[in-house]
Amino acid sequence: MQHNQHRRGSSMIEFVFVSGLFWVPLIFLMATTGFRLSRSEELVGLVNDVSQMFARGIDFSTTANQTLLTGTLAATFAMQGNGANAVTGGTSGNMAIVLSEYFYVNSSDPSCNSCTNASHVVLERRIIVGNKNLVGTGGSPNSVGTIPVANLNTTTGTCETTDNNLPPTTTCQYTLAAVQVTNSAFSTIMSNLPTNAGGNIGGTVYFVEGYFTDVAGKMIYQRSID
Amino acid sequence: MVEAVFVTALLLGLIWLAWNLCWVLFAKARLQMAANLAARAAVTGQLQLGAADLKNTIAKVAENAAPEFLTAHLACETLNINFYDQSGNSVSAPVNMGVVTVSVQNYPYTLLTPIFSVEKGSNGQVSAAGSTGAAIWVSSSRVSQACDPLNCPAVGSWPPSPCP
Repeated sequence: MQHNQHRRGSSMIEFVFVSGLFWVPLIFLMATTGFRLSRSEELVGLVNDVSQMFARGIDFSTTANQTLLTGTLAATFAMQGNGANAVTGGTSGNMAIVLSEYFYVNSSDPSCNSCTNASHVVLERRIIVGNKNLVGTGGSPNSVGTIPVANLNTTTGTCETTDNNLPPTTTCQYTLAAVQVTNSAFSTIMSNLPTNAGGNIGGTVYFVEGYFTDVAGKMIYQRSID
Repeated sequence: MVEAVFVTALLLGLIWLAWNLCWVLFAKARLQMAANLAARAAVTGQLQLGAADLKNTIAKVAENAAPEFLTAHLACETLNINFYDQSGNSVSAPVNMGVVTVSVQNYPYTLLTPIFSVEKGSNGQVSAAGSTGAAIWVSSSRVSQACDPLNCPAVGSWPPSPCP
């Protein structure tokens, strides 16, 4: 009898310990993982959609298309627009979409003619929509390649030299060494960027990356190539 | 006995919560798939059998892809079909190299909607209007193309008024 009185309440304490230190964290972990998985799937769908649109010529440097992106396509991510920065991205919100256009300069390309960037992959165009500060953070990879500020057309996101023309007329992709992407960096995207079949003009790849920080502040990164 | 009641109630609550969360995710996945298929159908410029025009074809594809969620009434209230030109300006019909977006906006979700708490309108249908549950939003987009001039379907209008 006295022995049992000493043990009263001990099962309650054990229950609190087990539930508080094991079951409740486990349930929260499962819920968080489930939501992250769901968000990740949403982001995959979004970057796939944007990528195929970008590859087929939809111009995401225009305000109207950026509004379509932030207001409809990425509405569930509460994505913020760029404001006055057409292609360089804003600084608010918890999401960024980076659109990049890479071009392989074929040494047989008649426009190249032993140019500086012959046999190199170059970054031809970059548009950032959303919070640019998220790019490369939280363990996510940084976008490959850069266009120097001095050569960036801040309206279209294209690389331009002094001729001030847009690709394919501009010679930027042929002559500006700063837009070259090293093989080791480009291999993080794809193994090779072949020339057009049977032609001597290099191939182009359209690459879209999505960066999203969830409610727990964790980064979710997805990308798509067209 | 008292402890058993408390613990059982707590566990049942957790199971109920998990059940609902799973249902939300399932509903969202189904609606997303419906939007994807509808957007794909939109760019073909082909009419589905029994549909009078392109917008009704798109709506039918979405409804058929998620019939347990997108009833004719709910599709009417939540399904949006929009066309844009290449610059992102809204247009009334698909244009070459434009964009078509199909979205389900503010889809009403109340806890375990299909089983228990059904929000019904005056016609007895589940209704988006006045729902107090969480809203689900999904969208899908595709690059559109101009239809064959010799066989160009009517674009039609969406949603029907009044909703069925």
